[in-house]
Amino acid sequence: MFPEMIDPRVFRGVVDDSIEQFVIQWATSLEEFFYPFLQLLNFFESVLLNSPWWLVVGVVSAAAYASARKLSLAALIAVAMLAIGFLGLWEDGMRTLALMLVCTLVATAVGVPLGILMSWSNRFRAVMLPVLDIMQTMPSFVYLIPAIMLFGPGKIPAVLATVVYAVPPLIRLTDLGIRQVDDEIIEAAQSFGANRMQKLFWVQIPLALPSIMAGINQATMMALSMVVIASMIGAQGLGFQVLQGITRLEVGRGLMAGLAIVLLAVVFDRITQAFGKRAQAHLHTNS
Amino acid sequence: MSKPVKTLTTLAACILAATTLSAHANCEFGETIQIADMSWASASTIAHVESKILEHGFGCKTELIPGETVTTATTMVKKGRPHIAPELWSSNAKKLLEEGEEKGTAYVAGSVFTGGGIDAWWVPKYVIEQHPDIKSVEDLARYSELFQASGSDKGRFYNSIPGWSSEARSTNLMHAYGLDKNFDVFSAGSGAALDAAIVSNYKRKKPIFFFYWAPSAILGKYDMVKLDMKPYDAANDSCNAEPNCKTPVTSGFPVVAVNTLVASKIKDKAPSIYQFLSKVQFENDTVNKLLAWGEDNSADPEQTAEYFLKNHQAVWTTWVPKDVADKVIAKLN
Repeated sequence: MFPEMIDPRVFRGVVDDSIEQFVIQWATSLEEFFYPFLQLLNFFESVLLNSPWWLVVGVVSAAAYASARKLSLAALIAVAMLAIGFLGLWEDGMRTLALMLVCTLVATAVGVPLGILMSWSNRFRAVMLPVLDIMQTMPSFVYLIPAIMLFGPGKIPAVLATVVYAVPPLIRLTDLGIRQVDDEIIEAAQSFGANRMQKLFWVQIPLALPSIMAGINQATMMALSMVVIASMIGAQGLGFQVLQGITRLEVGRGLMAGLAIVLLAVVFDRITQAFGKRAQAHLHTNS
Repeated sequence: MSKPVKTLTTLAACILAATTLSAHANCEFGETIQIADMSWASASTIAHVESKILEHGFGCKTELIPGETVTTATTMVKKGRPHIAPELWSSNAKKLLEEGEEKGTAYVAGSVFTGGGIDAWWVPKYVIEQHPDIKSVEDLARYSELFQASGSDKGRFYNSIPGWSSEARSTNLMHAYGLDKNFDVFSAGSGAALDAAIVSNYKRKKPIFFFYWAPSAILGKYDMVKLDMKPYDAANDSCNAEPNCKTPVTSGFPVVAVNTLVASKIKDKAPSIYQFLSKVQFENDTVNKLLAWGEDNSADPEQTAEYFLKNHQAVWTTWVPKDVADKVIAKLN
């Protein structure tokens, strides 16, 4: 046994008390502050739920075609989307799709700028790396319970949990992509008198795009693996079906919902990968 | 094999043998006893209490296996493991318990709570103080806007935990009482999330309307008022308990028999342990207070169990023969 020098309960007590005070002071205003965000989430969900199914299938496979310019991929994506409907999980699938879309948007909006900052400053990078490690390994319920106390169970803590878990690979890959841009190309841009922003937007980001797209792809995949956790904090959708299936020992229900999650993952993966590949191909034809 | 290594291996083997021997020294049951450690505080505390009495008093080796009601009952009935489920809410695993009894694989040894388990719908006391005319669930129809969640024009009812049959019951009863017109039946998704939502609202003195069960830490610590329902009606309830009940009818929640479920292996091989398990019983109020103590002192279930063994000796010493009790008390000090 390790000798007990200080009572760990004191530490725990301090944390508990400060969380409690924080909840009493701030929870109501935080809830109001995030209300527009919740409305955005609800808007996405209601658009997807109220659109006719053929429109959703059409738009998603059109996105697949736009990303790959291949009819075969568009057809595969359409089949995957239809299969979710055939499994009787269309509504839950749409809820999960809405959540994933928002998570991907938030992850991109947060992850890419952070990745760029990390590539600029070694000091910032040194600070961020352990933070990213924590985000990827800290069990999510540890920060979710306080998050629920602040925001109430439902979509907002679900997005929070998913983004915290899914954004690190995007940040890492953005940083890596920009650092790997050839020094000679940067020098060439500088000799033409490009300033930092011009260099970033016209040279570094385009050249790092395959890497950034791989990051977005990874982020969406990791986000989908969080849907069951998200359902344990009150998010509806496919994850909740899985949860119901496993807690009631209805293996069939769990399996069907699990399959639907896999199908959604295939859809997200193929579309984002195709974008990445085309970005890469684009680079080679131009260089 | 070189000599020092050989001596070392022998030594290691001896130590190993000695420890296993001493662990099983007097234990009536030849193998490690597995106790299901359920995810909520009261069940986990009772699991630790039983584990400590079995280890210190009966000289057995125990192991706590994390579990949930349905999964634990299933593996006990089908595989005989874990050996003990200390707090099994029979309402949530009715068919499995019948199957276990029929096949002779798992037996209900006794009921853990003298008052049985209470399932009900609750609101905090400050809500009633502000609106004294809220007495029964029907009265809530007028007050749905009080419980509104942001982004919705309906009130929010926090339902039971996914997978429990009280979840289906609550959903059906919401419909039967006509409350689902004014309320969203919302699932927090897990016990932890439901607790967090209740505590957060209680601390801010905001109204919240939720399903909960007693005895439990939440109801032991916070002042909640149980809403009246129509009396329990067995005929109506059998449909209400099904997730896909077509025509739910008003009824109350049954008082649930909360059982100690024991695998037949223990009953056959270790009658004195079975005897002890069948006697394990708590007053509902004792459990509520015990759990509230645990919350107030941020003690984990194991520390709460130790606190119980030290401070409530009058309760648990009646469960075991005197010599066993003495051994446990000796270990405690």
